[in-house]
Amino acid sequence: MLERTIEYQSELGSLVAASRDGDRDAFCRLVRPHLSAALATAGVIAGSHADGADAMQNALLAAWQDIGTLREPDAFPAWFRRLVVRAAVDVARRRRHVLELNLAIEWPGTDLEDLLDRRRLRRAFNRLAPKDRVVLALRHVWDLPGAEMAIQLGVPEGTVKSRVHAALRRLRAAYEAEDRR
Amino acid sequence: MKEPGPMSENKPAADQFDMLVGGWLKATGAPDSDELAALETFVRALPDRRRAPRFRMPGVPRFALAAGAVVLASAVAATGGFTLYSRIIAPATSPSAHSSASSSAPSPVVDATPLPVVAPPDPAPFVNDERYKACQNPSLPQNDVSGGSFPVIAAVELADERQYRQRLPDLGYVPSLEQPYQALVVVYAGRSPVRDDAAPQPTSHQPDSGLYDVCIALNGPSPQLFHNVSVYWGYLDGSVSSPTAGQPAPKVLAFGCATDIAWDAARRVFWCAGHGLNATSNPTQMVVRYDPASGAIREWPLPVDDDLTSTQQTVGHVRADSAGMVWISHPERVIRFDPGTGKSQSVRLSDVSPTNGDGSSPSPEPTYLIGNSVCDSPWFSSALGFRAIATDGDTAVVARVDTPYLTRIGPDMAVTQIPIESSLVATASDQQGLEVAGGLIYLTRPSDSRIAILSPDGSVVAVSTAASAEGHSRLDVRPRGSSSDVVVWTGNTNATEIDGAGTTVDEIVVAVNFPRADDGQQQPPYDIASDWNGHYWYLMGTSPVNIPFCDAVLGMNLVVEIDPAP
Repeated sequence: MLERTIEYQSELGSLVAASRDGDRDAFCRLVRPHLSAALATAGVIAGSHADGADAMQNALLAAWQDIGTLREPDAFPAWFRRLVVRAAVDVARRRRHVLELNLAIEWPGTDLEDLLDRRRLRRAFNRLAPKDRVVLALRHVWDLPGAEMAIQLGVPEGTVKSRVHAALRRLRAAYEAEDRR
Repeated sequence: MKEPGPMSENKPAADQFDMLVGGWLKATGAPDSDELAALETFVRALPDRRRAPRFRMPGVPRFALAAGAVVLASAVAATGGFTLYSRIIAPATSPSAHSSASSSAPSPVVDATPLPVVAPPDPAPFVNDERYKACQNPSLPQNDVSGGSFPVIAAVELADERQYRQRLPDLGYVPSLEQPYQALVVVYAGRSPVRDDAAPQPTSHQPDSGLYDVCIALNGPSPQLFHNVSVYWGYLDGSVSSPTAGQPAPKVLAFGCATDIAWDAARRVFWCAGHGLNATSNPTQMVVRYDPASGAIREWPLPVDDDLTSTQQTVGHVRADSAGMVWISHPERVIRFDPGTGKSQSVRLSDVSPTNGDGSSPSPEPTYLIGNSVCDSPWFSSALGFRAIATDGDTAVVARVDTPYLTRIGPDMAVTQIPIESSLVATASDQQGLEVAGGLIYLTRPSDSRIAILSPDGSVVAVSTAASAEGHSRLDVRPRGSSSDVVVWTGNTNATEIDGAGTTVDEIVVAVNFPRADDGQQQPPYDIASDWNGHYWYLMGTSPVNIPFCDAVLGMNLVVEIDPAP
């Protein structure tokens, strides 16, 4: 895994250059390591797997079309993340009435109470504003450390912490409100 | 003994809650291998970049296009897709939706003259065309219902994709089809390889009775697909002139201004405010200047603070005053922006207002907060005229919901009040339009949607005979010679010009086919401004109209010029 990462890092410049020249294979290799986390993040922000996939198409198309504007190849991961988040937020705003997170996931526990709890959590999460979903998704789905989230969001690291805290607080409040319904 | 559920009776500590959320999100979002494979397929099928002019914005210089490049990516999402890959767009749904739309806003495509019977244009010459094949097997991973055969009843080539306006007038205006390239139109005989949103995937779509699913393809595997289109073969093959022939097409000039445009007669530019043309790369709210003569666009960020960076609070109206300042309303404050220096001042109205509209003590929240019944989250009522701003000389006048006075803000940001009678006080559910012209204040009267004309002290001097249509109470001052008449928006494509006595002096009908949204209804513009040529400029939402106000506000919007007399 580490070797792969090092290999990818060393190839980043050439992959970006080839992508700029219209090489789809290079572009595919460039984005492939990010697809899983990106798709998961987009789905969480957008509210459903289908909308996440939709957002990913938009992000990929934007990345393909605009990669010529990327000056620093090393910045590709952060740049691509921004495109993904942006596309997912756009979809979330456009389709905020769509709620379809995967209920079939076995997590953790299988009894009815857990299922109901997960449903409450899902409903609570779907009540969050896109900006809150973004910070939680970047933290928990894309697994970004605070420093990278700070770069991603264009804010100091301390602000990231407060945003995560605020998002969790709102999620918890929404969850507890669901609990009372 | 049973373990408690993850969040049940025993409330977890904060850290535990964070972990639980993390675990749930990871599990919920995790894609499966098929989804990832589909995305890789999508990447390999991306259109040739050299052949893919994504969108042309007439009059917008290249630097502006470059600046808005990221915006385009977002506009892809917001418009429902004008990309060169497959996307589902449903411009019309059921016949009942059409009739509903027709009753409230007659469509220009309606024609009572009997049409000659015309046979569907034969699809046979195109069966080996790559575009035809693409329409049989569009590369849209999550909607992939390929493998079947989808009979085609008609196919026709358009020398220019923009001919869709005449050949398929039911589509209305579709920004994504405004491409100057040859295109193939394929009309499916029945089911199409299009996801049926209401059915489990993958399921092909069965159009409603009398309607067709249509595919429009440029070169490459990138068709666009439309549900439930009313197709007349005579229009489609060009043998019968379409009622939309010769109609001016909306000219899309820019993306991204959020909620309002205003004509600045002194500078001959438009101003808009919102997330700006680089909105998607920067959440900072922007004030944007657009020069229609040169196409030049300039943006300035508004002061950054918690109010203005919140994605849920967007700027409302923007107006330019006689001193060259730009006034911008925001749920929390009114901003006076000096384009010369790039600096701004602001006043927080919720701080300075002595009472709420009901006479109660000042609330920590602004009085124009609307509830969460529609949007599942609090939204502020600034964007659709709930809170309106107009300029009067070098001052700004602001109307607020549930507030029995207008607020005047001077160039020194001093605030005074203009009492208004109770019938003029709008609630959060009313539209509220406001203009000041010729020394008179024009304000919508919620009870009958007419325009009350007030003297500067707030007393009513006249009421218009024309009513503004519900939901379209925008007002705009239209310069005509030395007069300062007011244009009252009365419908999707109609406006009435009134004078200071409330008398109608002109009826304006702009024969433009506005785009249809998912519910089949024409999508109205929600702001109007007029320039020195008598051209009308619309701010047009690209979000479907059946999505509530909140999405329309934050959706990507188009600034559109329409010349009523081309």
